[in-house]
Amino acid sequence: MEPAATLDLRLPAETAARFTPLFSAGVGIATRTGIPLVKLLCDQLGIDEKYLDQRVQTIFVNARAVDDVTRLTVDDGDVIALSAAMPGLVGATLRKGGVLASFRAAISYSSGGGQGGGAGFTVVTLKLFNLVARELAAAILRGGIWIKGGRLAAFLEQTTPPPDDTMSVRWNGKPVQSDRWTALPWPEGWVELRVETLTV
Amino acid sequence: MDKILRINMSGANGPELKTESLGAYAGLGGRAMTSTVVAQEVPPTCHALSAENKLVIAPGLLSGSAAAMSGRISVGCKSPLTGGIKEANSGGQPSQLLARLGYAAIILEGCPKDDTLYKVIINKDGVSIDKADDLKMLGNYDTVEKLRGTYGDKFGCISIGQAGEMKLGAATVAFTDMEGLPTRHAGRGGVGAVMGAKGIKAIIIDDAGTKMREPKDPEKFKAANKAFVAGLRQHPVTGQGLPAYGTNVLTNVINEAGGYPTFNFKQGQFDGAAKISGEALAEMENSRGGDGSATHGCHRGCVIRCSGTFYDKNGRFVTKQPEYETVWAHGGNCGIDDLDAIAELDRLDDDFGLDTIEMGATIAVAMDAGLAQFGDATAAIRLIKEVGQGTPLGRILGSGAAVTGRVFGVERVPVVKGQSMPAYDPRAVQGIGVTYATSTMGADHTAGYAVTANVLGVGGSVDPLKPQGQVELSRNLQIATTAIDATGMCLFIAFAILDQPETFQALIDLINGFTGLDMTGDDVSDLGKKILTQERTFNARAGLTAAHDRLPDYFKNEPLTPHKVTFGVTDEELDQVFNF
Ligand code: SF4
Repeated sequence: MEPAATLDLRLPAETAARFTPLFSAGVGIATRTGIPLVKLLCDQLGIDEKYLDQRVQTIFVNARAVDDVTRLTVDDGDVIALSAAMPGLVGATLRKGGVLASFRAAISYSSGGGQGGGAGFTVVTLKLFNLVARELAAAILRGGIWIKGGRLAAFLEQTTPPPDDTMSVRWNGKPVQSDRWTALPWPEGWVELRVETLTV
Repeated sequence: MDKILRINMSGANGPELKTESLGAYAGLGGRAMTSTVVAQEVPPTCHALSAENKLVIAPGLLSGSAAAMSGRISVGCKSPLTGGIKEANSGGQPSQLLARLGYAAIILEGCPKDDTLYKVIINKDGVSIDKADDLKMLGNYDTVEKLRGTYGDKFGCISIGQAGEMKLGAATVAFTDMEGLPTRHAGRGGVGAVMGAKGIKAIIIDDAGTKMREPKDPEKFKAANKAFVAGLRQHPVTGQGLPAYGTNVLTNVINEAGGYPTFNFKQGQFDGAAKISGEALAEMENSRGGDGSATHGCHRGCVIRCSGTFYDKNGRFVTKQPEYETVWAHGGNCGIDDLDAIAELDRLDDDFGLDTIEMGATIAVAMDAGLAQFGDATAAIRLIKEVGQGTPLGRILGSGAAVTGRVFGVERVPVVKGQSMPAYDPRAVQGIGVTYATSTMGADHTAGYAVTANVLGVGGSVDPLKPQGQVELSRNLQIATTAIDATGMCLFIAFAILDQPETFQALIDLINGFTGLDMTGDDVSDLGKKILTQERTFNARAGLTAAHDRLPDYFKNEPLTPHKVTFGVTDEELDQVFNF
């Protein structure tokens, strides 16, 4: 499946960083069902394996706390959330494979993950929280996320574009004036958004 | 800390002050001190607002020293909210100041003969008590401001707001922070009502002319403190997550887990969570700027600094950075997704001297009763203002969720032993339900907060995959937490201790270096067991039975979305928690 439109932005770091909160509510990632979740996270999204093992201490798939991420495969429409280690008893309880896992047995991911079936196209939702969002968002935005046109339009309405000479906008591959980034012909369906951070 | 200050408000000629040596209470600090005094000296069946009850204020064991994180203070009494023993603790400066002045505890006892209000002044020259009727029915902010006119701006203050004076069940005791503002509270269980019943509005503490408390073994202490601080700084939670986002970093994660109580515990996820998350709060604070905006300590000597300062969009100070529990209580639990409104509610709670968790839970119960719509922040603010004004409705609300539910005929009232549950639904995270049900304190998230069995070696090792693991773990956590509460250390040190055995050892070395003792991890857990046992015994004598160690029935009957789970730990299992 193709997105209904593509938007490529090249932005100064300060403006690019304002896109990080999009990950709190989740962004779309186009992938294939049946592939190992680790493959999606590390190979496709480029997350370092050591980072996934050590920094990402709390993982949810479809709101269920995951203990062993290597056992999961991607299912159609999955919602995957990644977070650093959290404070508090409940924060510690939600950590992967911790001694407190029994505290949340009722909401743990119990099966071996999605049954997979064939390898079909899907858009999963990826949520990144706290330090993990801060550290991973830029790279994932550079690779591209899928986001519904209406949501992206509403988000850009709230974001002041930097001066024209410090950024560039391409809509479906064609250059657009930066002050027109809210006036694009937003489709109802998916927009593939790529954000490149410009280093000064 | 070699003395205790007793203030008997029932004296024949007015309040009587007595400073005495520690006697049998030597070596105790924080919760160990407050619970031991209450267990020894308060008749368990007394009325919590009567002359027989006592309010004990005790700095932690290491407070007033150079030990990092050691400035928490405990407040204990028989609770007007739970009917059992209570320890509520707080940050702020007074713990360090009292400890440097040598006081291991202040014990308020008796009751004044009339409604005269008093203030207590403590400095290096001694203690005095004066009438303070000019402070009557002032909020905590105005109280501190007015006292500044007389005592300058160098003192620390312990005070109550209007809620404490009205002896309401949700009343707190306030402690001033590093900026001298009354933003830190011993929040839970109505401890402020007991201070109000003693007729004491404020305790002014000036440590000018005192020195830091000296360790018995300075070399060992210094080395241990250095290792302890390094351990806290290197851990991702205490070194990065908490300083960057504060405790509100939990909002997105608990919401994602489906354990975020929403609309008075009706569902486990809130659509507006991202808008009030720690990430959103930190971004708002950073963009608005101002001193100590997103990262700030609640007392000197804190190296984690999970707190911050909330300024409005015009840069005016509103309140300290609201904590996770506050943001949840006044936010998602009431369907409110506006951080400015939540900060205003936090400010009102602090000013009137109200527990934010209890008040958020109460407003949600009131919303269920039809007094306001879920999501209506203006109505929530109006209801809290009623409490400060002392209207009949305000007094009902200020008495907490249980009373409000009873008055307005609401069944869904999330309390245990009369105290509101904090920000985690026990159907999703059932282990915390075990702690809510069985804690000596009523529903309390901090009761089982600290260190695991594996670290302290309490009660043997636990198989996390067995269902009974929840009961054993809850027991072990409650023991360990109780022990940490005695040290005066902030419980947030737990994360670094949990993951880094060398940081745990540094803590033990720190205690030993300071006290000259030779404690081991086992001794620490024995201390926790001892305190818990005396708290349980007090509660049993006060009339609390196994029937009180239960969650409300609806948690067993109403499935929580999105996971459609009910609380499944049996009564028999709950009754095993205190088998040690
Ligand atoms: S970590 Fe937070 S609660 Fe603990 S002492 Fe520091 S500021 Fe206070």
